[in-house]
Amino acid sequence: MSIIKAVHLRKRFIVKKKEPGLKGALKGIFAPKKIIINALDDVSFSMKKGEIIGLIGPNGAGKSTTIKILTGILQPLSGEVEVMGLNPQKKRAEVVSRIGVVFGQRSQLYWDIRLGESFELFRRIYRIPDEEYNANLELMDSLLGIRRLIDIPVRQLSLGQRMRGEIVSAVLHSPDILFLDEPTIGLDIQAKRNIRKFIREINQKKKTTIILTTHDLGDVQELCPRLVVINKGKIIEDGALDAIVHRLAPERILQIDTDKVKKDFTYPHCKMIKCEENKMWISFNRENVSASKLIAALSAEVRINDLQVKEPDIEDAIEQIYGEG
Amino acid sequence: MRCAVQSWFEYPLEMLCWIIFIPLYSFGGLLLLKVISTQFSEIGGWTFHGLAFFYGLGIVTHGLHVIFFFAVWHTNYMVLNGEFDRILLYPMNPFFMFIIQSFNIAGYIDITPGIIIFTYACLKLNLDWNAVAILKLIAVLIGGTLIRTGIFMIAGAIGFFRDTRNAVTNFMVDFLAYNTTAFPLNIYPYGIQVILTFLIPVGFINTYPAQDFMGMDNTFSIPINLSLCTLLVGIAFFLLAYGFFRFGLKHYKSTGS
Ligand SMILES: Nc1ncnc2c1ncn2[C@@H]1O[C@H](COP(=O)(O)OP(=O)(O)O)[C@@H](O)[C@H]1O
Ligand SMILES: [Mg+2]
Repeated sequence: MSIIKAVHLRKRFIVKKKEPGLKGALKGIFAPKKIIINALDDVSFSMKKGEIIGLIGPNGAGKSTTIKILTGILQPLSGEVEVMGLNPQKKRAEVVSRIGVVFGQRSQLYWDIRLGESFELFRRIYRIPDEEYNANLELMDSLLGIRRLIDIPVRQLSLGQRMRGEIVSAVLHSPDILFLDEPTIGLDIQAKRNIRKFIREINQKKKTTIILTTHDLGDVQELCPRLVVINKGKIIEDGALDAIVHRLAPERILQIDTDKVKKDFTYPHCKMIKCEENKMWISFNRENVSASKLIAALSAEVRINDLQVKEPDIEDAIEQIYGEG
Repeated sequence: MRCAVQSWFEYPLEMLCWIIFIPLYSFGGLLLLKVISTQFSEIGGWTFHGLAFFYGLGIVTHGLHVIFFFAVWHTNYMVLNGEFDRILLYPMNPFFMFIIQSFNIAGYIDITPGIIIFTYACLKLNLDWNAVAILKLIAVLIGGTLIRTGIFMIAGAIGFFRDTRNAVTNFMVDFLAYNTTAFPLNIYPYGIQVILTFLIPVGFINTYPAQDFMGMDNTFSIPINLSLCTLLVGIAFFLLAYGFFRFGLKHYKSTGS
């Protein structure tokens, strides 16, 4: 039984192209040049209850559009959607009462009132029983320390604090499915960690099904056993995270700070990609080379002051393999 | 709701302008009617006090519309900024959520001059306020408010289909709604009266109800009681506008980020 089913989804946007200058402006009024954007071009996937997937892909790939269709905000041009067995366009109210949605790029909270007042508002809108509301708030306090923020007007919250507020407001009514569209965007590492912990806990404790979009590979590596990769409105990969990362972006990069570099350092299956005054970058394939062995070999030849293993940028890899978005 | 009210108080200077400007405009309109009716003794069979009744009724319904349905003035803005995303995520009727989010207490500035003018006219006209008359007045106020709201709703919901600007739409619609209710319809040529009765039913906001209260004849000899008719037309027109709004919402595009 799938809790989410999307079959052959298509979505098209028609936008007017603005041309510069007075002539362009006049032309825009009388004979506007229209361009068609195929935001979703045959998207199909499904999810089982309790699953977490990472929906990733470069900017403009169609991640947010997918979420907006699944949550009933947008109508698809064609294709079928089922969320908990219901069509979110036809049974919108019923579907949205059982899902939670966070858009990292835009706020669901009310800027002029205190965070707690927004929560109260949601409690009434979703008719959340007192017990459930208090229990959820309690859980959220232990995960995200939300009580401390409750008396602050939303406009005065920092980005990280506000995002915590957004997330709490999306789970107060114990949704079965949580849609998180770039919830970690612009956050520092500590704030990201908090949110990752929250996602893991709510998935384990409440069996909440979660769709997460992010540009941070760290997020998906920590949270999502399964990855759905989208590019130019098409799903190009759907499967186990490890397999996809290995296939799309097998190379990791070791960055070494040293007093004296050794330009001619070699090691099987490794490549020196850059060498500066006191820094070296070596790429290596995670399948044949272990980072620790490479570091051991290096430290025999140079003095290592500091080191860093960088994960590959999967979005770069997608663009390289499938063309620019 | 509270949020909408608070943001009003954050712009006290703007509020001050409205507090001065709106009543000035309203009483100015009455003065114009006074001048016209003394110059030409009677226009279209209306006495000055009849005109004041008509004019006051128009402003009161405008005030009610602004208090309860101010949201519809912002439809295009909300569409362009993707604000309906949030509304569509609530398990409630989206139009209801849309309306209560900008409940507008500041509309008292609009309604107060109307109440003063209307009360003045009622006192001068010595109307018999029996139960039927009171029910009729309620019907007329509801009907007129719904007609005004319907006009703004339709104009605003065009924003779901093409990019329109609030300022332009509201200016045009407000101009239309104000001017067609500042003078009784029967001073206009027949063709225009047809349009303003059957196409955009502004005649039912105040011309026909006032004629009913004054016991005057109307151009089209409408057989049903004009006050009751106002309520029925108001409900029908509002439902039509609501249908168009819902249809527009199906075409809502959100925004790309
Ligand atoms: N409301 C809209 N109007 C016009 N174009 C849009 C709209 N929403 C999205 N798009 C376009 O559709 C494509 C997919 O957008 P989106 O789903 O937001 O991508 P992502 O979330 O993956 O970055 C982009 O080219 C974007 O510009
Ligand atoms: Mg997006």
